Amino acid sequence: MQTIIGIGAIGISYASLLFLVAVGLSIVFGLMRFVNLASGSFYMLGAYLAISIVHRGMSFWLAVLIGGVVVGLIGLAIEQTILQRLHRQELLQVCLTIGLMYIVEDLARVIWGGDPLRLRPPASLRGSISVLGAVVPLYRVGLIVIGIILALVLWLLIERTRWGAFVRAGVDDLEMCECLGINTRVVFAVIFTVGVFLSGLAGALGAPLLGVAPGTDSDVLLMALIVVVLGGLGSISGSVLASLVVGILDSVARMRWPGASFFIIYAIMAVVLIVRPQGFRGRYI
Amino acid sequence: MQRREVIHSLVLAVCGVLLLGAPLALGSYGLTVLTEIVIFALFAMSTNLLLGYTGLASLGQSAFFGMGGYCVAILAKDFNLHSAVTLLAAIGAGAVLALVTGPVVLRSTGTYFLMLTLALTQVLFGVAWFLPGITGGDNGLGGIARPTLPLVGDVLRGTTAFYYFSLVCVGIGIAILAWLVNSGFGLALQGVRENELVAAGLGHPVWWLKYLAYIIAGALSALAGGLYTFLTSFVGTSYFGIALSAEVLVMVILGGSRSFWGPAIGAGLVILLRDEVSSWTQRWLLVLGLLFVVTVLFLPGGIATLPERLSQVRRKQRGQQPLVSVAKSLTPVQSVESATSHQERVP
Amino acid sequence: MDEPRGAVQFSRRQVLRGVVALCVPALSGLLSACSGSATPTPTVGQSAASASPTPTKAAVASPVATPSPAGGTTPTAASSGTPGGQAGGAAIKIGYVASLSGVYASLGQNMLNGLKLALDEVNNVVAGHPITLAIEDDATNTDQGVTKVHQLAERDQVQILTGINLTPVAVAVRDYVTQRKLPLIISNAGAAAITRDPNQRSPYIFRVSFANGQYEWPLAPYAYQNLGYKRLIITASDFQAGHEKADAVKAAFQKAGGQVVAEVYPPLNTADFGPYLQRIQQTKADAVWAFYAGADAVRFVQQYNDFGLKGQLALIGAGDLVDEAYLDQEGDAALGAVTSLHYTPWYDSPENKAFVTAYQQKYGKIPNQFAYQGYLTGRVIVEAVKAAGGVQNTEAFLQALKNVQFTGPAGPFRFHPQTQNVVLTVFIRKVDHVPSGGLGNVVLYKYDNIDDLSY
Repeated sequence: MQTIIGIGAIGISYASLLFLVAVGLSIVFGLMRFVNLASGSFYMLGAYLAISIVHRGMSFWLAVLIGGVVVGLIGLAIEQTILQRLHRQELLQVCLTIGLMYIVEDLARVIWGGDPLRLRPPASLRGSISVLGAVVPLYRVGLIVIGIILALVLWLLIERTRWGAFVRAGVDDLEMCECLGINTRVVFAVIFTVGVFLSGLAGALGAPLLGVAPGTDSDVLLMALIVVVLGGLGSISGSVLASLVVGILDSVARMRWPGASFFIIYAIMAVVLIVRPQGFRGRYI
Repeated sequence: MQRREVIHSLVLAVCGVLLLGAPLALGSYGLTVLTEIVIFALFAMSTNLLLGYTGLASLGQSAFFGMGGYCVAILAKDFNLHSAVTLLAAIGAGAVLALVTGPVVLRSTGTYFLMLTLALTQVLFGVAWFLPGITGGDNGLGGIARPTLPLVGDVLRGTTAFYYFSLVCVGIGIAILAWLVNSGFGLALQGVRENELVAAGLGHPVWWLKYLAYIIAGALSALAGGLYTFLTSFVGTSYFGIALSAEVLVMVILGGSRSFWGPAIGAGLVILLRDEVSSWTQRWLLVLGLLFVVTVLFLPGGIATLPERLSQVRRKQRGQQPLVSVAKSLTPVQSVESATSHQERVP
Repeated sequence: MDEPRGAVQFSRRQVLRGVVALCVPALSGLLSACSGSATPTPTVGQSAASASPTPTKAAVASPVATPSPAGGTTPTAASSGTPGGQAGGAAIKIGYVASLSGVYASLGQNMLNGLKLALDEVNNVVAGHPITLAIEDDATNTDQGVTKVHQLAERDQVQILTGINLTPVAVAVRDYVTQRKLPLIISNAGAAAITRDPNQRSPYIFRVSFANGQYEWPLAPYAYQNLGYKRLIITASDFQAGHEKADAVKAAFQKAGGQVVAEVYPPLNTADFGPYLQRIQQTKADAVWAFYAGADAVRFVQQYNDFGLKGQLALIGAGDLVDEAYLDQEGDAALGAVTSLHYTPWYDSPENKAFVTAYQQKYGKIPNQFAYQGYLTGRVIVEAVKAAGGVQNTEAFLQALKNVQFTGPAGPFRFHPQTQNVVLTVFIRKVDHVPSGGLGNVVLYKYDNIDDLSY
């Protein structure tokens, strides 16, 4: 029982982080039909920014928020200036994000150096609690709670607001949307910014848990891609499901078969894609 | 259209002469870099068979590259087979891997295909890492001697000799690619790229076309991997994985996926950037990223389309109508070329 | 995915705007790179004296660094009138290749700092020969490392090759440097076989850093006898170096009489050690011996603390766990950890004090093991060139290298006569508060004369 709770806490808190990065990726693809390979870079930027801000003496939560917002603004700037010009040219947009990845990686190394950096959890979430005998770090519990809240907020936004309706319509049929007079450019801008904001937020939230160092961008990107593809491109509930599956399975695999944990995730993804090429909740391609 | 073809042939001829005469002008180090460029040109062009001609963007080509590399290395180290024939085994290994994984990977297209191919190379990365007994693990296998040729023996030790050998091997690979893309097979592939449904409707066996392209690309990538292992006398887990796959994709896009020789240009550019620019500044990755972004924005067809773009810009400046914007392929696709040539003769 | 359609049509003004928009971040990046950042720009040594100058040419000792694009922080000396004497001999070109970007960026940079410090001590002139340094980055990529080695050897014609933090690169270039008769002084790559295995040794390869296991194993008998731990859990990153180190510790601990009750090997770059810490938590033992480096070390130590294991199970391990580069990041989570390493900036000796002070003055931070290894590299070269009078006679230079002996920051330095690997002083240290504030690795004990055949 202890083990289950312990592993559950670890897996679900990891899933929280994955979800935040993956959901932005997923919606952006569903709507704009391209894979933002710079998501990992935005995660990394959010983490670095939050660390710098905290080192200047600000509160943790403020730093997290600012980190996310600044990254979101950078994403907006990129979308407005560069991405818009490549409207509907998905392969080029993917390539652009690869170039951005290189640029961000190099600039980050210049600004923050090559050493791994960490953030201490906020005072309110330090230490650990005992749940039915299992030791669970408090910050992980916090992450799970935050993840659930954000997932609910996003779901509400998409399912219950007018803007959400625009997004869902756009994912279904973009041309029709435009015919109906919906300003897709604005919708794109908003969605992309929100997606990038979430990635940056995830980075800042993940900093106390995972830290940040050169190479974090690729690691996070790989995991996020797996989650997105598994969950189905364009679906929030799919992202939730997939991040839970990946987070928990990854943690279990690492505990029982550490050597195989590297494969297991890719193997699972391959199996799911073979059986159901569109992922859990993706639309049939 | 005569003019364009003539210029094209002239450029190719000049490049050929330069390549053949390179050992006279370059020192041993320069020649090594050129050999590397030549090998990666093959790698990039075989990747482009999938990307540019079939429309399948794959993040998994490094799986075949690494397969070829490990094949020749293991044959040399564990079985003491040093003949150049091991390269044929490498090609075979690549083809077999493609044969086996093709049915799995080709069930999807687009992003899902990207992810599945990525999974393939990552899995192989893991296999290489976790079997140090066979693959040397994360240390890799070093000290791979150059291959021996049947009659002349150990002559490939020298930089120049190996350069010509690579040139020959890569030349054969490129010739095969050229023959394929100019044949009905190549046209059919492009048809599949443009619109699968229509191609199927016209009676093409779409899945088999893709499968065949996948196998050929895999086999040639494996050849490149084997050659590269002989060049550096080393193979390691870095031959697999997303980093190399992304790099070759960058080469293809930078050079131009719609042209036959574009990927070769891209390969040269990336390698020169990586090896030479990194000597002047530590910010070479930034330079590469910027170059890539600029290319994507202003030259989406890749560097190979630079002449076309320049002439278009000039035409706009002169107030002329721009030429009809068709697929700018340097391989003579007859019908398209005649259309443009007709345009050009109108004053 | 759609293919690229015809290029977007731009007006000239738009093109200019776009270029400016892209140049601004790029330029700011380059500017921040060149000025005032901690990373000195690489210098391709181009001294006034060429490879074979005439004796009349050199009255002035030539500086090591070319004026690089910014010229800002290149910290090499540019003085004339050196204590090493007038520079009148042929320039000696040292090639340095290491990871200056990528995952191991910090490591490569610190090694370079140490190397430059050692060369600066003699004002870049030894026995009348000006020393120039050609620096290349392998970006934590093996292929690039191999290419750079070729570049340094063939294009830049270096006479001595140094650096190499990645083991695969060392493995890959072993035959190459041997064939070219190029002396290689490895500043980090730890694969034990490079020097331990008689088949893989080379008369041209020396190593100043360590062989995997060499500085780890002495902690095992210390833990058993002095700390009283009878049952040990061993955990390390799942790659060859990790296993080499773990195996050495395991053997030594069992030899001392102890019992290894579990072994846990998480993959490299594990973000979340939770599952493994769970395993550890459930195993009955007295202590945990851990080897992790870089970001993994920071995460492991913090998460070890977060899981409450710190109070339950003593944490001991390899010095990489609490490297000075990130000890502050780990903070109190690392307090009390006992580790073994061949260096600590808190070792109380006049040489070490001088080294630490000089390093701090020059780079604004405390040296760590990699800075020390870089320093050793430079010092060894200086001593050997002094003894041999130059590098023209490779045999004499190799002999001089073999015989190098001096007192370094960590005590007496020498190479093992057969393996040409350094003979170490291994420090058993503990993370504790230090007088200057913050945390440091204070010395508990030291073992002398540990060579790479001792285990």
